[in-house]
Amino acid sequence: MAIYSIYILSKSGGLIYQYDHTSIKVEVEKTFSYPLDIQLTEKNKRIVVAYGQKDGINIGHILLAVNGSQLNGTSLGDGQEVTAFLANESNYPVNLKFGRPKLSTNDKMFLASGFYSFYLIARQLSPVLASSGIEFLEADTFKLHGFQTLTGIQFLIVTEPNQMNVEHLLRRVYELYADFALKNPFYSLEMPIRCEKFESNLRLVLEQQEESSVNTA
Amino acid sequence: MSSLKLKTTILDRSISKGKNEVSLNGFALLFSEIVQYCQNRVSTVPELQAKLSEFGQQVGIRMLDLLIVREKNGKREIKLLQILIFIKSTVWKSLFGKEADKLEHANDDDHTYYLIEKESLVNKFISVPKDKGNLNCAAFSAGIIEGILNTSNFPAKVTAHWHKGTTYMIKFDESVILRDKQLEGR
Amino acid sequence: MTIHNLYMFDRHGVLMYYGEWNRKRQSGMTIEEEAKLMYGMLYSIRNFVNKMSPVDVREGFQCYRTSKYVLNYFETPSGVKFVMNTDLHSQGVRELLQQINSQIYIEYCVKNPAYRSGETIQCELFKTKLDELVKQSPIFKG
Repeated sequence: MAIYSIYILSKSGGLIYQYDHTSIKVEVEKTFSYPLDIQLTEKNKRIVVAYGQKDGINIGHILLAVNGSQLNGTSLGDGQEVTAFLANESNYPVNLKFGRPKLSTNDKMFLASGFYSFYLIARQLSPVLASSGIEFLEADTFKLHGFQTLTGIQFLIVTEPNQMNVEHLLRRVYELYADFALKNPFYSLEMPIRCEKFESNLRLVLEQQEESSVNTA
Repeated sequence: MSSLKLKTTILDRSISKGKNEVSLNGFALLFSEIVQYCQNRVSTVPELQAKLSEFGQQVGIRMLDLLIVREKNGKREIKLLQILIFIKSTVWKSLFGKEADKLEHANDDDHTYYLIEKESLVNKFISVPKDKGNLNCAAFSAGIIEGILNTSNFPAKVTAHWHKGTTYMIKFDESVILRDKQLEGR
Repeated sequence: MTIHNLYMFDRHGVLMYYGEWNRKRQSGMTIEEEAKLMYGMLYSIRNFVNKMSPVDVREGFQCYRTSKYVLNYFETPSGVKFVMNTDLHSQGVRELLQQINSQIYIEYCVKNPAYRSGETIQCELFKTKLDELVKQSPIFKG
């Protein structure tokens, strides 16, 4: 059981706080011989797997390292372009490391505003009267639990599919927000939360939650 | 008879101590507003601390009169150590519901005393942003101490610092120390 | 327990079929507009899920829940998407969608020579069989 991350959205859908609690590294290393049997493309200054997923290397993974040395964007440590390097038969066999791209701050803001729009559309498309927006979303690899306060702030918690007691955790995070953000004279509404005490207390609550769920498991 | 009973108004009853409880949330929000109010009227951190201290002094002056009447039978402390203990216990208890943690005398300077509070109530929910340097909003409580000392005729400067939690540095005027020495032995 | 409605999209996002049983509120749009909005939302949710997921997804998005209804999502390997809205207590909707796919859609549309993919489903047999299956399901009766 694990809690992956927490998002807080302002009432206009902006991301005002994000915290990654547990992160999982998905990385695969493999030695290839010429010719390379997976198709790579360049996207946003990164080398991305476009076709030919195998052995845990999936489409969308990015190239992290070549022969053990970390990539710098699309070029090798010595400044040589990766695409040119991989096209040259004399460089083979070559060891490549692929991994799932990490979310950047920009990605997270994008995800948050994305969720905000589904939240509204879900209400519009409701087949029944007086429905709220999305409160819970399930995928095969995670669950997302949401809670919207009466003032429109949204709390989202992303967990492993079998994590229990998330409702309680959402309320606790709301409490922390009310205590350490709203009662802080240096916090202004709708703005990103940068409060030491909020973050340290949040960490504490998450650790407690994990301990208690380990005990009951 | 019944008409007589009706005439006992609130003024006829003895002064009630009341419930010594105030909602922490209410206080925290009010204090937050005070800090924001001050912040909108100053441009630097020292000015903000000075402004908060000013507010605190107003509270201190009023608290002194009230507590002397209620707790001390109208008698005012005249010895330096006594007034410090009065602040540490009586004042702190009535304001924050608990005594301050420690009272210390500076080793190198007999004008200076330290009142130490591990977890200051005013700072309970406050995270000071990095660009505010070493601002401590307990400057407000420092102002309370200063207000009490000054009106009791112990002129002093009180400042709040981040040290072992919050430490209030109390620097007495030369005259206070001299007078206290004269009182010794009496 | 009850079933509100069913949307079917082909791999390009064209609405193939829409059926409703106990729908209590209309969105105020034409069905074409509604389908576009629905497909657009699903498309972004799928992207959202792919990005948000800490590990690589296999099936990805499965369902979401609001205070009043659950949207269940099922996609076949060929990209046909089934979307069924039910109430909060319905169980086993995914299995029902799989049944609709294998017993109704494949049988009466894919195997029907008169049906061309990418068109709205006109087959009468499909409609009656679908209606039967849905009405027989414990989710509908409950």
